[in-house]
Amino acid sequence: MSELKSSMIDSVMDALGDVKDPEIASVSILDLGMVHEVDVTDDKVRISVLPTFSGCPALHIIERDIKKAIENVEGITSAEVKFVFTPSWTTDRITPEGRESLKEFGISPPPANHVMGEPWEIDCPYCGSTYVTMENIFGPTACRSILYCKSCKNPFEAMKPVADMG
Amino acid sequence: MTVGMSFNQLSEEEKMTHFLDRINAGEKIEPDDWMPEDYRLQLIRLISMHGISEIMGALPEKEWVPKAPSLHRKLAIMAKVQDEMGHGQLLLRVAEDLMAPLGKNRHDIMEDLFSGKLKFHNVFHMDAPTWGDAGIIAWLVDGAAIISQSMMLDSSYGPYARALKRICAEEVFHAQHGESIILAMAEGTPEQREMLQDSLNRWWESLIMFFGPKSAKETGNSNADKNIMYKIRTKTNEDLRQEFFTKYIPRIWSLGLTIPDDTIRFDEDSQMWIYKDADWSKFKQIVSGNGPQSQNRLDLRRRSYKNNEWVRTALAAKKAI
Amino acid sequence: MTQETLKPQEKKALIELLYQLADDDFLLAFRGSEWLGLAPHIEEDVAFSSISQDMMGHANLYYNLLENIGEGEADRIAHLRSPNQFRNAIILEEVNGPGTYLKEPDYDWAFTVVRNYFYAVHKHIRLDSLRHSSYEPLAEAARKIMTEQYYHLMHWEIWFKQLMTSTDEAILRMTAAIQKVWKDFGGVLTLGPYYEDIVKANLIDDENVMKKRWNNKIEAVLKEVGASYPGEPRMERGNGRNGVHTEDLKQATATLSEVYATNPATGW
Ligand SMILES: [Fe+2]
Ligand SMILES: [Fe+2]
Ligand SMILES: [Zn+2]
Repeated sequence: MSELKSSMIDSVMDALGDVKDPEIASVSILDLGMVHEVDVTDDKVRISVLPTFSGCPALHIIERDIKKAIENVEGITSAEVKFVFTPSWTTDRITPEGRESLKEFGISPPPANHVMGEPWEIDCPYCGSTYVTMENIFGPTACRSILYCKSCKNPFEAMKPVADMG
Repeated sequence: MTVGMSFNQLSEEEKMTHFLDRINAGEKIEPDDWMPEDYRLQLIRLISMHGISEIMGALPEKEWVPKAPSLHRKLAIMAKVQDEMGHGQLLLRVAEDLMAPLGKNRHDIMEDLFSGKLKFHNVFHMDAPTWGDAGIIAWLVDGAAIISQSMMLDSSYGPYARALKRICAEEVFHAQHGESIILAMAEGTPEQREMLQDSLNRWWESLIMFFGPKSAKETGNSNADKNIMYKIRTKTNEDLRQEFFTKYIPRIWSLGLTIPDDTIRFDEDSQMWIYKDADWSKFKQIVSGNGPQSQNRLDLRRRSYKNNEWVRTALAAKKAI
Repeated sequence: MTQETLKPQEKKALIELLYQLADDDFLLAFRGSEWLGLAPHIEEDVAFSSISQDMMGHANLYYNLLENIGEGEADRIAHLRSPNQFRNAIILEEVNGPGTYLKEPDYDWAFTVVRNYFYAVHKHIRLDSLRHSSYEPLAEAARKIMTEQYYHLMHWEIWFKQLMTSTDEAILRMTAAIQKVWKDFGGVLTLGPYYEDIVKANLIDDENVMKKRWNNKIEAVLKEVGASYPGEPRMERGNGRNGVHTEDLKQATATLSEVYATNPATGW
């Protein structure tokens, strides 16, 4: 890869760091591991993005925000955004920074290397206690659950683990 | 001697002083902390009304869920009403902890809703007869909610402030979804524009009412003032309404829509919007359950609560084993 | 297989299958959305509306696959077909109970639990097979949908087992609901008149194999909760895969397309 091309990709990635999840203001699509591939040819960039869930109604907004962010990257005149399902997005794709930001937001990050069908342990994102109860597997958004911490008495949310089922 | 013991030996007055010192220093009050009875009652009133408004608020939009005019709109409005229900659950959970020392629980909240003792937001008592209303609700009602809820992100009560942080982020998403509906209609056919203007006309007074009266004299209660003292909220009703005007009036005008108030203008001298005030006696009527849809929507809830009693009994029986 | 390598007969079979998959989820998601605000408790309102949203998303994916192979715009497919062009099973279009979602709904929770649980079991079996579909875009979609549907199945299984082992009234209502659903659930388990072409193209497993898996699973669950297995589910009101439907579908499609149909050409 030419030096110019790799520096352009870096600038695009920088810009993508500013594209936030429309429902979680502090987490970017990079933090969530939604960006699959970035490909620059001349002044064009093609970005393939993995939706976190199939009925996600925010894809239009994410696409718009990506294009807006890319507009300002020097040397790029057009951006194409493609949503793909392969590879499948899994919660293991969330970066360490993403996991931290989720916690600050009151959302407990999913366990690493989860196997679908097995129980998972969740700590309170506020006080770290494991003395929590699952109040609802389904939360305000499709990818989260509602829990309650019996130690600090805060309701909080947790991301449902999503792993590849083969 | 532990701190807890010494605190218990304080007089009520000293406890109160200590409490006010804490909230004035920006500390968060937690569920098991000592709090004045009045603070507890204010929180219960505010949070249970907020929670139940989220739940009742899903009903006018629900009317449009299946009818949403594209697959994408169907998904977006389903996601929105789903969020609102989730907000309701989170908030009622916070309210339940506050009510526990008074021997009350979720069942009491529902009973109070059905009996009319627990009020919900004026906007959710209103008719939503067209798809334009679904757009206006998401754009402007959620927009208004963002303004009034953002002020409470720093609320002195910890669990409420924390839940609001996530709730507000989702409300922003709702307002974007609403704005997108509005834009599509504003750029659409003359019929679509007319439908949109009709909806705005229908909702304008309700939006003025959303923030509550200017001062206690219109409704004869001073909850807003008390909540400011307790640092549950930081701004007056009128502050919030002005903020709403500043944010949305220019946008409404730029879409070529007309606000159904020919006196509305920004006054440079006072740096305030001058507008036609709402009819607050009508407001009182609406929130006490006499709005055009109040009883219909309450009936939906009452009816399903009754129809599903056997389910709750069955679940309770399982738990008892 | 990809879009380019499909033979005409395979394409025809694929289109039939995609309509079945899309319409099943579309109709049941719609029936689910009618429950919003009417569920037994708030937690269930949150969960059920989440599941319905997911299912609408799945229908949307399938409609988009149809769009991609030349069946026209996804929105037109979803909103402008006449009822006899729908390929969903009849039991999935059935109303939730007396009344409408706007007026005096006397919806039946037992029926809803049974219908959704039985469907979720079948949907899981179907997705498990579709993951290896010869049509790669469909296999990809199935792999994604499966991670979400996993939680739906879990949800309805808990409801089913709880209500089937609780109060006498709950058991009575659930048993009646099973009888009602059984009369037409055979319609979900069939691949319809083009079944042989669908299987020959390796799009999905043989319907008899999947039927057996479903029967085995349900028989075991019924035994676990102390109920008896009523024999093969039937198709009393006809086969939705043939375009045979009831008045309930007419009412459903009229509602679903009410706004869109006023002007399909404009942006909404
Ligand atoms: Fe909300
Ligand atoms: Fe909202
Ligand atoms: Zn905690």
